[in-house]
Amino acid sequence: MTAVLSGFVLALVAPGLYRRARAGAGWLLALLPLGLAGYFGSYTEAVAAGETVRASYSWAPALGVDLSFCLDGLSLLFALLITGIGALILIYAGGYLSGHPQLGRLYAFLLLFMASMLGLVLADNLLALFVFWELTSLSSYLLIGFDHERAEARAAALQALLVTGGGGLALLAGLLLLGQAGGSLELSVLLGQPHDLRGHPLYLPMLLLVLLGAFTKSAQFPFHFWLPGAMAAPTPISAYLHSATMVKAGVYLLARLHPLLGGTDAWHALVTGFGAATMLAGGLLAVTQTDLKRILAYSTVSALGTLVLLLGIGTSAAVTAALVFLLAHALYKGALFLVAGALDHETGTRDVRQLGGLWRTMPVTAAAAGLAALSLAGFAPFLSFIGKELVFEAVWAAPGAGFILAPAAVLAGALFVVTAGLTGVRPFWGAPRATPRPPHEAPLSLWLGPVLLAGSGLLFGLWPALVAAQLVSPAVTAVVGHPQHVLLALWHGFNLALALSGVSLVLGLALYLGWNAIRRASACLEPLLNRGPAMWYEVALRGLNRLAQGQTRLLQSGYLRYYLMIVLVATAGLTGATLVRRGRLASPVDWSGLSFYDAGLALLILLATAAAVLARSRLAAIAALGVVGYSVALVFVLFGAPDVAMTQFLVETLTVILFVLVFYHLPESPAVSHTLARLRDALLAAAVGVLMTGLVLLAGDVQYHPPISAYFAEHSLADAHGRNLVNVILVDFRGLDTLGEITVLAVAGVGVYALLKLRVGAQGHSAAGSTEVQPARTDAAPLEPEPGPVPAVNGAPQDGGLALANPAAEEGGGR
Amino acid sequence: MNPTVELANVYLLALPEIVLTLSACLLFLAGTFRQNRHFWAMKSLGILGAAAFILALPFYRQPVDPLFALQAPNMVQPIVLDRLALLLKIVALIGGAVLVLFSWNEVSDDLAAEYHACLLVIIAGVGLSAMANDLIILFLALEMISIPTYVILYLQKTDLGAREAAAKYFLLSVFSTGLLLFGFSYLYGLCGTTNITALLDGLRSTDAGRLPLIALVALVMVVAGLGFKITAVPFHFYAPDVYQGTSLTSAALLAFVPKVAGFAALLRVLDFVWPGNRPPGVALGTQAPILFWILAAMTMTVGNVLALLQDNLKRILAYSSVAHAGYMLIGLATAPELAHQAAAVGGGQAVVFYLVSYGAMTVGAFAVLAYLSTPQAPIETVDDLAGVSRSHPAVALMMAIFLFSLIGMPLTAGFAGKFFLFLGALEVRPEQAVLFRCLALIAALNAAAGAWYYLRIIAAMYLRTPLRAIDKPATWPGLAAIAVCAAITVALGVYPTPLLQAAKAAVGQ
Amino acid sequence: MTPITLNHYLALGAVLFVCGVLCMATKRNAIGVLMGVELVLNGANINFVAFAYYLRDPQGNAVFLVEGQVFALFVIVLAAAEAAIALAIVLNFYNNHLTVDVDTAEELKG
Repeated sequence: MTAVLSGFVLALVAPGLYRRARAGAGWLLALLPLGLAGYFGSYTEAVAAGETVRASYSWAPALGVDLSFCLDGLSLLFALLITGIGALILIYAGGYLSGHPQLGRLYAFLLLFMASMLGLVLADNLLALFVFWELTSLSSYLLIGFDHERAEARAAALQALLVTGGGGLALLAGLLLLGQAGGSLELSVLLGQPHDLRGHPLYLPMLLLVLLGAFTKSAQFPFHFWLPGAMAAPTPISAYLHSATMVKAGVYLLARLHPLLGGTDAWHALVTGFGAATMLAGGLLAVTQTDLKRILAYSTVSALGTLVLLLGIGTSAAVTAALVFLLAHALYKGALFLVAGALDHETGTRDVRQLGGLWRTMPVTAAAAGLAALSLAGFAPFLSFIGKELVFEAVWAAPGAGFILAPAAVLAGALFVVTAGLTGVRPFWGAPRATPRPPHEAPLSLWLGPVLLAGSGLLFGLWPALVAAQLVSPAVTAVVGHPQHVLLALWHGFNLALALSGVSLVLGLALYLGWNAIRRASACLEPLLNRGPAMWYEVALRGLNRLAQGQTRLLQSGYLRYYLMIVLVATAGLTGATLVRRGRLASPVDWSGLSFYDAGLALLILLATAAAVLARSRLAAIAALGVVGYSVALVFVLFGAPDVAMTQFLVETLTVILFVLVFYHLPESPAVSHTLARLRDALLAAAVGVLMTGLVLLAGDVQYHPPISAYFAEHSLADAHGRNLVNVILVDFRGLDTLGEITVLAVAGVGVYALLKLRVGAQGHSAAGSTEVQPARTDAAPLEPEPGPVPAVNGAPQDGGLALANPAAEEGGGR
Repeated sequence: MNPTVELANVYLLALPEIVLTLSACLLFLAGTFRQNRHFWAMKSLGILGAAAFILALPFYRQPVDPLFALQAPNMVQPIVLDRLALLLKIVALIGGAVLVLFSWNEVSDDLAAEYHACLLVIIAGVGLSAMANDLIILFLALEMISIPTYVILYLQKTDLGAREAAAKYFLLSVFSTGLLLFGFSYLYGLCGTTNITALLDGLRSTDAGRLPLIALVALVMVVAGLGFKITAVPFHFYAPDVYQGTSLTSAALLAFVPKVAGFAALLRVLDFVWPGNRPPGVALGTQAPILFWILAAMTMTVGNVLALLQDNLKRILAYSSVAHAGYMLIGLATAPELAHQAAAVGGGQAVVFYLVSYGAMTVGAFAVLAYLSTPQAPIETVDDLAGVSRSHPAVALMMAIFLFSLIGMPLTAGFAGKFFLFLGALEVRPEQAVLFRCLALIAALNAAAGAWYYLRIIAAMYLRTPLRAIDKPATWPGLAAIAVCAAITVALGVYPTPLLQAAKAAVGQ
Repeated sequence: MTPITLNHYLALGAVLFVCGVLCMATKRNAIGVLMGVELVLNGANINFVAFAYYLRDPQGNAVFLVEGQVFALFVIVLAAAEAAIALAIVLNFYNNHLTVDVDTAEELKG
């Protein structure tokens, strides 16, 4: 918990620290991951003894919701990798980008990433895991786009974010399903219960969604294309995120969920299949590249494929192989990336064809590169040799598919050898070549990382017991689900694995010697490669963009009337749906027993309403509206509400006068004419017709409902101490309302006044009309000297007039 | 219960609102004599303080647990001061103070008094709508919010866009008022009373299956009318256009105030408060949860999808406002079921919590934009924020907090709020479980997709080089407004329990 | 009068309401939209007053429920206040756009 938080906090202060400490900042900042590594290291004993360390922060105790973390073997392995390599990367970045104005920002993002990654591997809650998962995607986006001046870097950053972020959404859905099926979002609860998810009806969708998330993150074929693009990031970033840690998050997730979801036919087929495809595709693509970083990127894809393949097999041998291979890969691939960065930094190019014979000028770097390359190729006595042996063993023993997978693994191993030659040997040996910048040895900060990483690969290879009992065994235990004791040794005797290893080495050396020929041969495959998943990504993105634009234009047209229509149709639709759902419309209204006054008045109102809606002349429409208003007032009189009627009379008179006066100043509006508009209005009218029919029929449904009225007879009136008292209260209560009412009116009045005041000040820029409405201007122009309640047209300050508009706007008139 | 005493209380209960309204009237009159925005801002801050003091006064004498010494709504009083009302009144007063601080330098001198007076009336309206126990008072309170809002929209800016915005808002708003009123008229007709408590008691006493059809139609109309206030799809159309056209202060006002009042009204009229021993929200029929389900799904999805392509910050925040309304509607959809099974966090409770959280983060985001804008160089698009982290590191950090909260990152209020809402949808156990799990899934996907457009803003602030220098002199009121919002956002995220408890007490579950 | 006539008035209110809504949605003229609002509010008012008059208790006695009338009164006055603001807004709109055709207000969209 503290560990994760400290990373975030330090990320915040990093830019400030950089400003103070400049060159030393990288070293200073590296102290945190180092300290954390020590902190996690101190738990190795406990974890190896089978303990699981937990920490939780009680966030909403009422709910029992906690933010919980747990540290078991798997988490520990990853946490040590993240913090250990993180420290080296921080130091390296200080040298690699020394003097860069934005270095402080880089530190901040790196620490942000490190903290998120730690959170991801330590999280015990699926939701927290998802959040950290997306945070790593986000910080990866920030880091790839670090060089934001370059369009290419921005596009690559976006691509990486969209692919991994999109996969993250699938993962979220998958995790939620998982949590639902398992009854908890806590990993520890899920892992601890006997409940078998594999038989759950939602197992397959759950698995597919989780795999989609893991595969996009870990750059599995066909989602691998974002990873080479991500090489636009500065090299330390590529080394850290896109080789050693972040891309392994998918692998981590698969390993973590293996006890829950693994072991089924679907798991075997999908995970192994995609893993194998990725392994081969990555390896083949790697050897066709010439850019050091792209070669390494594709070879990373291949390695990730191998890991996924092994987890797909899922036997404890395969899991052991996967974890050893993962550790070895992180060490040598990180080193090679850092070497590539150092080369780039010192010579100005990353093209392997331009590099050669550099061991004379860069001996230390060359030594580190040589160690790492031997490790990548899988020579003894490196840790990767052990890893490779284990891989071959596990693949061969894979139930059912060993005879297909083993040759594939051998081929991939051979391609690794080629890659190793290209990246670790070729630039340093042979004849020196001209480079854009005269080469010289890299500074301490640049070679420290590669040397330490490659060296530890050798160290662990020579003494595998260093990692076997303390790191690998607990991790394997966590993945497999029952205690495992792993014994690692360099020498297993003459067996099949050794033979396969030898075959792959020989094959690899042969391929390396024929590299130029391979590259030429691959050139004719270019058109095919251009139609890869990357192209489909582009097409999908463009299509989505166009779709969204179209949608936005359609829905948010800017036309008020369309908005009103949509609201209307929605309301009508909802009402209609309600009526239909109930399926019981009351009998039509009984029109008998109507008094003459009522009928006449109703008819009058209906006619006037129709006139108001349909009238062509505006004056007629207003007159009709006035008739409606007065008739309604008469209705009020009929119902014994003279006070309401009086108000209605007054207000109606006022409104009609206002309308007439305003209309007098305004031009005729154009008639709606074109067919489309008519069609639309017809549709609208139909919808409204439905609504109206529904409402009128509904009117017949209204009775004074006996249950409700009976209830009131019993409760409400008694509670309110009798009817008279109700009226008394209401009178009082009307007083309170009136207070509010007066306020509203005051606001309205003052608002009108303020508007007028504003207009006087703003008349200068009021005539901003565009040319197409120019005729309207001529219509209005003769009216300019007209006195009246509407000083608006020419902006003359005649407040008194419009103040009439409002019975309560005394303040307005007063000025 | 002595009715006379009760009635005297009615006036006392509304005392803060009465003070606010009367002060507003004085401000209107006095505005002609003195034209100084700082003077009037100071005055209205003082008035809000006085109102808060009056609100707090009765509790001073009863220091024991003031939240629980309140009255329940009854069939006599048109207004009540229950826990929901008290909570929302506090929120309204704090929100009002933040808005005053926020608009300190944003209004022109000659209109300052009118602006602040309108703001005070609006705050009074929010308080009144939170207390309303009568359809008439509720309608009046909503109008007390609407009418000054029209005026503010018109006063604030004078260009073409602002005029169009005001016209659109006004016309759509009166339309929604009409719908609401028509719905109210049916409710009144059904029960013969406008007292909400009595009305709901009456409706509950009938068998849900035999509920008259007209009650369902009234439900649709009330939801449609209030849907406008809370920007629920398809009643949201004004929001993007109006936010874009009007000033930042008005946009913040529109994003916050109508939502509070609208949800308060929904909670009260649709029976989400004081459910007693019956499931809430179904006085108007068992279809209400389905209706809210549909509205929530549509609202979140449309809001987030349309926001994806926007480049104008105010439009982004407008669509985000729509999307967040969708999240809150989840709470209303799940409330009946959750109350039925006595879940840890009820639907209505989560809505109230989210309402407060959303207010803090969205007003804060608008305040940052206003803080960085100058009349000559307004902050309009995402590009305008490029590189702000370098020129204004502190403000950029707080903006990042607001945006992270809107996304729903842990340890921010937005996360807590979303968590409670989504958790509720996942916890629905009975036969409708699948339905609500689908809703939770839609919500989760929406929240994740919605992150995209907020992140674009953060990326612009932190990654890009400034396109132009932003050299606005620092002003303390603006900073104070931002800081208050940021503090609330973080505090609710880190320690949500107190507000969660208060919200639980407020909706009485 | 028999209680049945309440239904007639409700039908009348509904017709006014729907006509007003139709008026708002189809008129391009801003004033036309406002007239639609007036119709809608009048429709609601008829409902209120009719309900207040016709509702009766289970024994069939008329219960004079004053609240409906109070509500109608408020609606009328608020409608007047809204109309005042509306006209100011329309006039300003006209001054800027030189027309009251609401379809010209489509600058803000997307």
